[in-house]
Amino acid sequence: MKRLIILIFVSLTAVVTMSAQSEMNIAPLFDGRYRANPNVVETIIRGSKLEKYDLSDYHALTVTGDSGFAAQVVPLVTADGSKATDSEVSYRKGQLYYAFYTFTGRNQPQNTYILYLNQWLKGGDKIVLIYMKGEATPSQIKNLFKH
Amino acid sequence: MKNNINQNTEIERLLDLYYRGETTIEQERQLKSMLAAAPERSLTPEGMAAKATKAYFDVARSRKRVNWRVWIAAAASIAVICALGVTFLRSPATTDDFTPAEGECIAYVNGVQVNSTDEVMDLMADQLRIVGDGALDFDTSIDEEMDTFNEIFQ
Repeated sequence: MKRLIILIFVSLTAVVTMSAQSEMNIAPLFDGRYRANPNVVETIIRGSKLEKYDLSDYHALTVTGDSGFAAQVVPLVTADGSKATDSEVSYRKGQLYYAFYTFTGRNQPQNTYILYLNQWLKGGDKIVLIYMKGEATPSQIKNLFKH
Repeated sequence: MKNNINQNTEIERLLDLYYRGETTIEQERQLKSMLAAAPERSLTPEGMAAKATKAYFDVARSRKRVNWRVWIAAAASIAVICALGVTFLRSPATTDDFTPAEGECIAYVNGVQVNSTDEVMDLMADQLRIVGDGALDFDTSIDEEMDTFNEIFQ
């Protein structure tokens, strides 16, 4: 019986660990909790509309007039960022101002991107978080900024 | 022949000590190895009985090893069931909404749903433009830092 309990515990630990690794930390932010919020713009695009950008998924949040949103987002963004294959990050006033994280696919051509900007640290009133997935390269993503 | 007699004498002596609970660990090891090495026909009836007992416990021990396979199989089954449970019972709000449905193009602006593709694509462009300002600042700050380094080292 003792062995059975130990085995169940070890098995559950392994499953929970595997499950936790497969999901991004920012995922809960896109579960629809901000859709009714009058200060938030949530954008969800998938499929043919993104083909010309070499992307398959686009999911973003823009929060206006709520500087406290950064405190909820930054720990999750930086936790994901710690696993990024490539990152560009800048801080202002000791806080995360801009982040561009690239997650290169291991056995597939798809890349994942997390982009973050806190305008409050430069006189603005918006915080933007973007999740993107697709075959687009980081330079292609940066070209999208100019559109 | 003489060797067998000496061996039997030694085995009987050690068995005698063993049954009286007076053997040392080293003597028990010696007894086990002597019983394992001795052919049955060369042993006395007491030696044969002890060898048979030892063989019984060796088999029992090997059976225990086989039991681990059952335990490992049980653990693997539990892990698979748990993995399936975690996958299928996870709240759809944390996965389905994060990965939009194929062909979806939708936005929620200040609590109001927007289905117009053009409007949603414009929102995407706006969001990317805002983050693009950060990218520009990033590049500028890198350039400034490099210029500062150049000034210092010139």
